[in-house]
Amino acid sequence: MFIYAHTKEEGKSVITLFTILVGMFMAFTIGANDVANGMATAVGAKAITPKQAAFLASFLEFLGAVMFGATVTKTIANGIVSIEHITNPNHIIYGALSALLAAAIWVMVATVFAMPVSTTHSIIGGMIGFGLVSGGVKVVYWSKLGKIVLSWIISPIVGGLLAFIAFKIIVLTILHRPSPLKAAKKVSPFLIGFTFFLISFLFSLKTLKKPYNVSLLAGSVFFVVAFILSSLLLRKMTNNKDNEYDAVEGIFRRIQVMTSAYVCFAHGANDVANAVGPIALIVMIRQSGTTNVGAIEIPKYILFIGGLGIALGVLLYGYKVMETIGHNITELNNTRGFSVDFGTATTVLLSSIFGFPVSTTHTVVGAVTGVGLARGIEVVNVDILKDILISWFITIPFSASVSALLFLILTRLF
Amino acid sequence: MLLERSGEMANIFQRLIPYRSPLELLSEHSKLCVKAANLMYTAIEKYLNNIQVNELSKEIDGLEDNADQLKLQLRDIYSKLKWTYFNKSDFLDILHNVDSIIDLTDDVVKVLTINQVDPVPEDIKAPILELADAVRKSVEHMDITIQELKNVVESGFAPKEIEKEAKEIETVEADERSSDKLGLELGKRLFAKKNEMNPVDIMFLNNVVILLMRIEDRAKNVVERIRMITHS
Repeated sequence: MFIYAHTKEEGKSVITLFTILVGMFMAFTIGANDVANGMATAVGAKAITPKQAAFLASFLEFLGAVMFGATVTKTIANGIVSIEHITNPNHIIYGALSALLAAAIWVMVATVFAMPVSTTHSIIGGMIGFGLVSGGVKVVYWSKLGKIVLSWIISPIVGGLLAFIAFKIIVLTILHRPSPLKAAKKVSPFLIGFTFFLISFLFSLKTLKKPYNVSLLAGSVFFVVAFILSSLLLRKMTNNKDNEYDAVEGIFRRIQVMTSAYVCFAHGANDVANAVGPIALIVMIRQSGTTNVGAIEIPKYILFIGGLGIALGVLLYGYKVMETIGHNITELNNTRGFSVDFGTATTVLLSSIFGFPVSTTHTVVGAVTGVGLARGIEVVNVDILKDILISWFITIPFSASVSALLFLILTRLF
Repeated sequence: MLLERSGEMANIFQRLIPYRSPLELLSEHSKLCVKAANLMYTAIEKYLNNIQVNELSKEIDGLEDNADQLKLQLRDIYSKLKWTYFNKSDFLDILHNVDSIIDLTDDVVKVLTINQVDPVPEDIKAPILELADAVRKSVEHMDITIQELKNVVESGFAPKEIEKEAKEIETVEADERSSDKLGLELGKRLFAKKNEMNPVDIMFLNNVVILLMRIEDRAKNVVERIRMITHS
């Protein structure tokens, strides 16, 4: 039971508001920094301009956050550390603020040194930091944390596997056929339809919580609609290229806009939690009036706020990042880009649905390596794997330490 | 600066994949070899008609400098830890041989600026020109093989593209065999004139013939290595 003094309530509101603002800022930086993960392939292939990419990405990031962001947000909010031992609700607010600030600081430091760190890992480190200081090792859900860490290792592998399979399907059903262009017009609608099936099926099953057969029906309807529409559009395409493979790449250039959007959608779903997870924790406590928030669902408006923050980050800053790197974006064949995007997005979306906060960037690395293994990319710089491994070992200790320090300062000061 | 850094970090693809495809760079290098080989043919034609070739030598020198830049870029790409679907040593061997072609072409024309053989006997002129033409065509066919390699890669190593590639390779190998015969024949003719021509001129022209045949050899080495990597 909590008794709130009038002045304390005001102070709590100010800090809560400040925490929300920091969360929004975090969402903004997520949108600004990570938009290239999804859109780089489409922009690099000149299928879409940076401006168009920014608009599309902002919309999809928002949609992904709102449609699929709840489960991962709940994981971050109350799936890493137990807060039931904390008797002072202010401490939870300070803890959430410390976690957010620590994560934001680490991401900024990493930006300066151009290290490929993950905002996901940073926020988890932040939550662990304040949890350990407030209640010791027993308050951390170590087995859940263990599963999350395992998902960080598995997600690049799964991304790689899916990308490998996607590219091999393209090779066997299109590129190795006697007439690749004809084959592309036949096969591509299946690929597009399957993507829509996956999203709608998972949304129906996991977010709307509809029964399996209803979800399957919904997915099938979307498959059929997407299949028919794409078949009609592709039929109209004429071949102006001497080289059939160039014509096939032309088809996939258009499809790649869709898969890039898919990555943005999945990214929004998984990463909104990094910004609003701590905020959700505060809101859930205020709603329930206790620290026992296990059964409380994440309020939809929290996801709206996070999604909006990411969308604004993409539009206002991510667009400039895309323009800055616009003419320097590596050229990646569209068939390969499709495979990378499909592998990444599907892995990140599935992780979101099962509540595992994973790194989109690291999943992209896995997906690119997967296509490389399928002999789809000439040269892949696997040196970056070393940087990723290093970031795994540094990120959590750093953000946990900073979060713990900030928590101690805030609890002493206020 | 933070914006640029964000861009660098944000674009993970920039870190993973070279900005320019190595095959594109190799293709550009090969096109320079074709240009140089055509200029070399023109230079030999002019030389045999007693016309100065210094300007052409400068032009080829310029092409060779551009080719060196491409070579350095390619070596840099392959020098770092990489996952490559061509074996690194195979690709670098191809690069080495392609680069040798433009170097040798440059050498041929530079050599022609050192000494003017006047007159070149008519029964020597025609076969030299024939050999130069054969070498030029061989370099062109090698270039086609390299351009076709891009299709092989883009198609995901489709069997029909590998077969097309194999046919081009056979053409270059056939070119090289007939050029070998021509070169030997030319050498015999030159040395048969040891009582008629200045021996220094004989050695000079024979050196040019040897350089031309080396270009042919390099072209053959390139296509042989391409056959190995497409069948691996």
